[in-house]
Amino acid sequence: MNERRPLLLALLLVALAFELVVLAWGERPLDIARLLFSNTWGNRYGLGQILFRTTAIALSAVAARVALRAGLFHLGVEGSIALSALAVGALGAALPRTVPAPIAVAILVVVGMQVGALTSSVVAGLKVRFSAHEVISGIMLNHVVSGLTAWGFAAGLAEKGSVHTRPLPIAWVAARLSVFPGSSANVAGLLAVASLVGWAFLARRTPFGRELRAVAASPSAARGAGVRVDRRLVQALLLSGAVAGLASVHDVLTRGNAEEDRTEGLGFTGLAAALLAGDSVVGIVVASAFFATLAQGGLAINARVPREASDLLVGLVVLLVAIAPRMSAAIDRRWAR
Amino acid sequence: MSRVLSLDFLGQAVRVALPYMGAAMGGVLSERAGIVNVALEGTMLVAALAAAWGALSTGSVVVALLSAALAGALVQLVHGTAVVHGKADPIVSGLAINLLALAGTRFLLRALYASSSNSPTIPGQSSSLLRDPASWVVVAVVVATTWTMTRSRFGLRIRAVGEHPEAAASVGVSVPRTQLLAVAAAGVAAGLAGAWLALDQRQFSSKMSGGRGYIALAILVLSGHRPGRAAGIALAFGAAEALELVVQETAKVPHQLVQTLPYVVTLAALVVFGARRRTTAHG
Repeated sequence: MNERRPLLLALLLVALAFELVVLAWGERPLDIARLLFSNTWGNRYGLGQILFRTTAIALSAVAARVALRAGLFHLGVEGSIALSALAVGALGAALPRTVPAPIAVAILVVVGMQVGALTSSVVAGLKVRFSAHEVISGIMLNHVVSGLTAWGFAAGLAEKGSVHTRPLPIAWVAARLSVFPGSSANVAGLLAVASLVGWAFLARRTPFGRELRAVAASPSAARGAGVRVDRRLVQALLLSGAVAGLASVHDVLTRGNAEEDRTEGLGFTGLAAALLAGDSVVGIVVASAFFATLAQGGLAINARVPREASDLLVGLVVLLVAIAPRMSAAIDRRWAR
Repeated sequence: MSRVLSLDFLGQAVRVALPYMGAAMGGVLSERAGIVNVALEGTMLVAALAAAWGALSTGSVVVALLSAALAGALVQLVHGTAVVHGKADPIVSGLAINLLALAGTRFLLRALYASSSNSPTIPGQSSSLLRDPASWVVVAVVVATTWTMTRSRFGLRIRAVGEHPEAAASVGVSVPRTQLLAVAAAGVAAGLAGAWLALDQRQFSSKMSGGRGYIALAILVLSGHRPGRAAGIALAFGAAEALELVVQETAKVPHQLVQTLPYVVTLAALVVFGARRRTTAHG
């Protein structure tokens, strides 16, 4: 059986659901679809926005995928992004403005990854030391981080009367790509490329990548084969957090500051993209571009159909992809009769 | 110290505990039947909106509670069907449903009340904890779940299906049917907990479940999936969080940090119980 068919079936059903939602809102699906596409893939600004969002989601998706490879649903990616964004933004505002841009960016990248990994270490520690389920501890961590960052911004890290840090020097902010005029597409997107390439290498060419898969398949079998399971789980979660930190650096270097709640939901969209992509790096790019289109398209249609409709599709995609193989097999059986 | 022993404190502890209890009962019903249930969070959220809608459109608490129970059961049946018949990974299905619930409630808020953050206020006065029928309904859910799991034929089937599906099937118990009934019951329980939230706050607001479904899962794990114990642990969580009242009045802790208390309490509980489990396992 063709491996991609379940995925196509799921996407077909998502398109159908989109149509139903639009109809329920009293709009014509074809009009709305045209509006969505002409404002996303249809012009250079829209393409730039999609490119920007794709890189942001892809970073978060790589973070989720690293943990998924070891069989872990690391929801703490969301909190890791939020806390390291605050740290990177605050540090960026505090560093002397005379520091040359490459050095400043290097410092921010290192600190962002460190803070991201440190945040995720809570989940890692609870997992291997106290056998707490990572889904529960991840969500708890996110809520704690949300309070911490709100307090951090309020307690002086934000500019007076605002919810964002002081701006970084212009020279450090990532240069926009002039081929996509007016859009947020910028060279910080290279962080996403680096993380994708790095992950492709780690996953395929190193014992680390192979052992993570063994751990996911069966921890006891992996242990029997000589894999140090706990160590690999911790490494996966810390690396996942470090990549989440990169996602926050991407956000701060794009906007030139850190802002409260700006990355909200990015961790979950990344997980959705990672689940949709499966164990494929190209898949991560495609899935991220798909969710980027939904997010940007949601804004484009917001005046006529609430953009929440496109958020709705993210959850639906994940659910349908989860049941698609079974649906596809059921259809095969019916045809075979 | 006197503040800790006051009636206010006790009331606050129960107030915090009630939604945990309802959701944890939902967790007992479905996880004992073998369906891992991360979807409790989204179930509470959808049911809370259903309760607010019921109360706002009819003014009746009974209608509010019924719509919440029905909405909860429906959400859980989607989860159950995806897992039982669609062979979805239960965690993926649960997370997907939570994403759907978050976006779906916001979409419906815009459709029903032209706002993406909250519903209008439910008219009428907020009644005291003891006079609030929703509180008693949640207590009834705890009693009913305990009775179901320990005394009823349905509870016996749930346990059989969860522990030994093949054995249950061999004596003629339909495993998928029992599992779907169990998650529907779980949906009613978690749904009523969601209704309690909306009725207590006199409105629905986006994200109002605030991670309570996940905290209920933690309580469930700590209780060893036993309903009575889960209710007791929920009360302990309530008491720990009610310290919030004391802390806010006496110390100058920033409110943003005070609000993280429920989640810190949960993480701490996972550490303490995890450590205990570890020592008993090794000693």
